[in-house]
Amino acid sequence: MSGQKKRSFLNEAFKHQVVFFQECVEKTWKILEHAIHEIYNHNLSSFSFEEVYRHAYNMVVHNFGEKLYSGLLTTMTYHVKEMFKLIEAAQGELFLEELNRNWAEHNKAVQMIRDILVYMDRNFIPSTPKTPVREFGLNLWMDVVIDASKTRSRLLDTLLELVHREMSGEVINRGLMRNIIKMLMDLGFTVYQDDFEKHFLKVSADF
Amino acid sequence: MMDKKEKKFLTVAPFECAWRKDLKFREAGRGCVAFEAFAHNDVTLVFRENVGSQHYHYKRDNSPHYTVILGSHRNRRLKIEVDGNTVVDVEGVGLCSSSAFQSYWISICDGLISIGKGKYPFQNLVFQWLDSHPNCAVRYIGLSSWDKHVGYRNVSVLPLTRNHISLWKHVDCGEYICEDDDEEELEDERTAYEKWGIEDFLENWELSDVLFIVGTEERPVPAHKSILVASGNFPLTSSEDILRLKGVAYPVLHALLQYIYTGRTQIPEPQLGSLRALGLQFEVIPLVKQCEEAMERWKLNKKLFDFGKSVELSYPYTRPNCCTAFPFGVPVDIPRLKQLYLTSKYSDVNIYIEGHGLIARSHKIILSLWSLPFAKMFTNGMSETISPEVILRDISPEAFKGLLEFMYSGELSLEAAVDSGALLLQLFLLADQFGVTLLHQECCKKLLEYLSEDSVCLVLQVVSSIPSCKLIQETCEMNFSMHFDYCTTASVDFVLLDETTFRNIIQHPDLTVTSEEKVLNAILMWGVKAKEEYGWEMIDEMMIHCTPELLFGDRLQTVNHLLSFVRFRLLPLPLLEKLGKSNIARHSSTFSNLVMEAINCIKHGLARPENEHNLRIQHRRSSYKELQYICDGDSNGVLYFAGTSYGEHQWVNPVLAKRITITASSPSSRFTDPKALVSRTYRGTSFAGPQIEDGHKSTWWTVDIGADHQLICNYYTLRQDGSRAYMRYWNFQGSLDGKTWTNLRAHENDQTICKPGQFASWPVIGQNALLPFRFFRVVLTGPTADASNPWNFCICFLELYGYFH
Repeated sequence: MSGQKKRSFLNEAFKHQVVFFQECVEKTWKILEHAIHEIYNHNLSSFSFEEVYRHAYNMVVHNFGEKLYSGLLTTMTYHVKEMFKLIEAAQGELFLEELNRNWAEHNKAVQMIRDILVYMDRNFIPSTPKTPVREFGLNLWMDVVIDASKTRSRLLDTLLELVHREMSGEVINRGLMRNIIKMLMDLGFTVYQDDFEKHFLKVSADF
Repeated sequence: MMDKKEKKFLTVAPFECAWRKDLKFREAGRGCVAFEAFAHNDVTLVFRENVGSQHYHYKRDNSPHYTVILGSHRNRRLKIEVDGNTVVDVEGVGLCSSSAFQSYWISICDGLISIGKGKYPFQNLVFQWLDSHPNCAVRYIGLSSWDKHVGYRNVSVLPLTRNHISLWKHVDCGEYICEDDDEEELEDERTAYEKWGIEDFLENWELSDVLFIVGTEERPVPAHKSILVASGNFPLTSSEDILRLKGVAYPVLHALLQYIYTGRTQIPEPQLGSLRALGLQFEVIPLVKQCEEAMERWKLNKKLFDFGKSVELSYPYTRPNCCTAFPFGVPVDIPRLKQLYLTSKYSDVNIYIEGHGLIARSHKIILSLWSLPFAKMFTNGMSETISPEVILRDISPEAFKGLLEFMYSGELSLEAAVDSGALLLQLFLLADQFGVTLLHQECCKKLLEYLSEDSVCLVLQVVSSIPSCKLIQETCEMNFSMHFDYCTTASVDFVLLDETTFRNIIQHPDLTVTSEEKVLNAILMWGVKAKEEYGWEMIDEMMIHCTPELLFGDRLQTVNHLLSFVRFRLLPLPLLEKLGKSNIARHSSTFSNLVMEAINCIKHGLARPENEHNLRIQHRRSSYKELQYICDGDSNGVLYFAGTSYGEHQWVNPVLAKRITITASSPSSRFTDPKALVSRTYRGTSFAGPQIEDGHKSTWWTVDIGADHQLICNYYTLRQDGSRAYMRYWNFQGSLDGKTWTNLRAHENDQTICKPGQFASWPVIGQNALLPFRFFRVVLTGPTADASNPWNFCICFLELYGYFH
């Protein structure tokens, strides 16, 4: 008899939770959206991991995984576009520096997002044909920043110019150069090959 | 799907052995083989480094191998041989051969041989033996025999991973299935999570609270107090965070820590002594023992370590099924670990649950090594990282305590599991929320173990939204469908099930129900989210004032879809006509079409149209009651069952009770008495005489089990009366209308009956045995053994068995 009671009690609790959650799903998403913004603004240290993680977990468990995922994509895209504006505006040698700085920040942000949305990454995405967060982060950077009309040629020119200067005996910022090359490698070997290696080999040969 | 699954099996001739390239462990020395086998004795499996030949025999093999023999010594003993020498020979463990296919599994993990019964690898462990000198090269599996044939089937090789729940899927999927390659890719995606564990914290600065300073170079090496305390006796205090080890070289300390954090390490032989000394200093006893053993072996056989010159030490797993999981794969002393939980010594985090206050003083490292989310919480720079407090919300304190107890012991406390299903369910959810894989699996197993018709609905509600619970969900759905009546009447919780789950249940091939009306009622109740139990009549009443759109809301479409799965044609005509006139039919065209279609079919005698594969008109197979033949004259048959009005009362003669009708080819008389045939008493003279049909003599007895019943007959019994007119040529036939007959069994010069009053029974086999019929008859096709009255069918008893509806 007591088993029966316990059972129905628990049922009530679950029913309550479901109904309750449907009412506040918007609110929950707003909190998560805010958290993602704050990740890009380096302001996350005041947030409670427990709270953010719990909200993300609730959204997935209550069948709002779709909403969470698409919301995440929109927010991330917005920020990467903002970054691109900064990169585009940078002139001369600052261009590479800005690119490198933003790339590092983007990576850090993606890692943070993976941390707080690990439940979605692990439980929701594999059951759908969706791209995992990390991969999406790379693709996004590729699409928004690297594939933008001017970036490729600008990046190539700047890099080759650096190479040229080094070959002529100037001291260049090798660390920066290494980071940028590493970024191209991270984005995929073909990207590195197409965008840099071929031209580099050609220029070296010319030299 | 069942059709595709052919019942192929492989027979191994005496003294032979079957080797297949794909019967191979993915990792040498580690793997599990699950298989089914039948034999009189000696189901024999050989494990060796390479494949052998067909005429290979383990008795003649010189290369290292393991042999496992189930049922040696005339099927009495279990035997294990290493390189041909018997190392295990036990009786009475229940691991013998069986004359019908039986499932077994054998797992080998670095010399630990585990053998179990049943389809689920790692479940139901029966016997275990550890080789002190493990052969870690064994890889290929040979299926062998002794002096009798052995049949094998469904042989699958599984890797040893932590996640054996997922392995269950691989079982049963056919012949010789290893692992699909695409699956492997998927696994890689997840490995980062699945492999998360204590080894990630080896010499990791994250969460470290103690430093070793080693060597003359004073190299700092981070470690975690609670792990050290649980593994040995380190001179730690709450305030002291530094341990100086001037005389110790870094590689030696590294080996010690690696052994503690991962359960295995490698060390160059010359440093073995220093490692042993360090282990002794900090009382890491398993390591000390293993160092000593290695040194012994070294002394005995210097060649052993000649190349590489590194000694490998690995902590013997205490459990075969959780290889690398903390705390079983590492040298942690579990009582000491539990003590840490109780005393909260060296704790670095206070856990609160909102509304319940402080729950525990705990160790970040312990929570983190089990759970990636907790690890991130404590390290990724958000507010919990610097705070010594964590406040959790929406969590039951009891369940969280259960989680902590598990983390500090590696075991699900039985109390939590048995005492309350609700707590177990909450624990399960918690394990899922925080990614504690092992607990998740343990709960999964326990939930399945304690699953009942009472809990199935609740479990389904909870797990259906959780992506990682497919196995439980499917099992619950099956359980629900098989107890459909109970689950839809005992409580109305089922109306809370989500659409997919409910749809799966309604369409489940194992759906068992006493009447299609119940299916209809359940669909309608689910549609209106009923708060109490009622039938379609109630919905009908509601529909007087209400449209389906209003009544069913967002479930309308699903209800319409599901209605097509109700097998209306199995409902009695009067009920169908009532349904046809109901308000439901008036409002819903889908419903009225289905009902009208069924009525037409029944009225125009299309109850069995040609299309046999049309599921909608077939009886649900499992809704038949199985009445199994046990022995001649038993009380398990259909006619006896009819005599009790199908279980309602004490037996009375079913002919007198008008449950069944029996007729004979000759008119009723003193010696041709229909009720005598089912009277369960012996009659000296009881026969049916011949009548002329189409110019031929025809003699038969016919049973009609009634318009509302059908029987898929698989056995029948006859009894000779007192005469010597033994039947020799006759047919056993079935019919739906009493006019056209289908042969179920033909007897040609059958000499079975040779004494007066003798019983005899025959199974019904072949295609036709699967068809349901209403009428059954035995009809003579040739003269009996009595020359004077060759066309008298002399039986005084008849009984039928099979699936009865």
